[in-house]
Amino acid sequence: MKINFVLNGTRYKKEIDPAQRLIDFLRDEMRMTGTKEGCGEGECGSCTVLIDNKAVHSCLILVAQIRDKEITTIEGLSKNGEICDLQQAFIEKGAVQCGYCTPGMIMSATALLSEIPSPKTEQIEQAMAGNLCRCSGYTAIINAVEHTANIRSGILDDGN
Amino acid sequence: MMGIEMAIPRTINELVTCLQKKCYFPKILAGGTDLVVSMNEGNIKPDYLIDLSGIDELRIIERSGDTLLIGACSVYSQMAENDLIINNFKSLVQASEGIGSKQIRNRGTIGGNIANSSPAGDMIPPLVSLNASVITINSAGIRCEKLIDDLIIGVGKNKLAPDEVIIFIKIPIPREERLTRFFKIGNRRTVTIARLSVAINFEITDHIVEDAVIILGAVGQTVIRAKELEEVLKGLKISSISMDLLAESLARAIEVSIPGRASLNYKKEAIRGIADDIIASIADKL
Repeated sequence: MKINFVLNGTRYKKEIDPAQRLIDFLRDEMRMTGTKEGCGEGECGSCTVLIDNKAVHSCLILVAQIRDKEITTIEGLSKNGEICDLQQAFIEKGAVQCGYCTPGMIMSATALLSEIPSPKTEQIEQAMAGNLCRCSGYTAIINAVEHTANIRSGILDDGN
Repeated sequence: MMGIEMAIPRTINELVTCLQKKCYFPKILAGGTDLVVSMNEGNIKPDYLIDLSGIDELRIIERSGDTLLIGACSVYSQMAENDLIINNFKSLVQASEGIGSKQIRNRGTIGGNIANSSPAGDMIPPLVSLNASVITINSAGIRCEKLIDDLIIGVGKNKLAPDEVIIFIKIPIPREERLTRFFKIGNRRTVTIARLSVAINFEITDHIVEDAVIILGAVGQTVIRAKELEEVLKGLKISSISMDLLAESLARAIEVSIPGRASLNYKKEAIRGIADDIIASIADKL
């Protein structure tokens, strides 16, 4: 089966094995290895990517289902080798320990901020409840998301 | 997964053609949040998948006279934000918001929840309390309407024929104002499978309960109706409804349904929390 899709802003037309899991397609065929597998059953969120700007578990999607859709992975958030403000905030706020949950966390946060630019803490917790972290205790992660929202809305000066 | 053939129909007519295909083990793929988990675990090995995600008509949510029609591939996040559902069936909104995580809610479908027929399926108690039915289609193109209460008959078991697919959910919109709510208890606050759930559908006029429908989920193999409590509540002033009245009757309904089950004592106790929530939800009708 040949399908059209957009991945991180680039259009593709590719021959696919339709029932291949999206996570395997992204990692093995498209060489986007930032997306991680943690459970394979839609519980941990480390495989989170965006389809048409909505956060989804890529371990539960078969690649034929992304036909004519726009996919964004963690690699799609940096431009010209520069990480985006959310990624920078994760580093500054100590929200990255082993880093395994981080791409999924950042994709969920990206989807949240595109829907709710100034989320309350409970809204961040709700939106990211599907992303587990075994290292950090979550506080630094929530701080990083809040910090990014505040800078974007002008409440905080980003120092530039 | 290698060696699986997949069909991607764009319309309901194309779906009917796909259903005619001869194969060993066909499966319908909608959101994939149940099916693909089973496939990943090696528990289900279909040789043919029909992907419904490309059929736009299966994602409509629209009013047709005094009926609400919901496409079977409508996802939970879409349902939770839909004005027709928000304005008419609050229990469905609450059930939609409480399923899984954001990622699951962006993919999981109402049709899939019904067809999966889990005793803990969150869509089922509210839909049964609302007298909802499914509209199905089969390989001969014949459509059929079935009450959801009749459709689901056991754990993961329903009356759908092997070539039959749910395409719409049909809910009668009541002429009078109804109080509909859904309550769920799980092992966690969120991203949790229901250990116990209740859907209520009350008609309250001048502070008196005119009609009550109470459906318990995640107790028996299929949903249970709390008939004894429904009869007790009819004609009662809402100010005279106590938590103990609700909790004791609901606990009896649970005991009758699952005698000897290991979780019996837990559920008889936990239902008190839901009784409290029911009181809180009718409080503003006082």
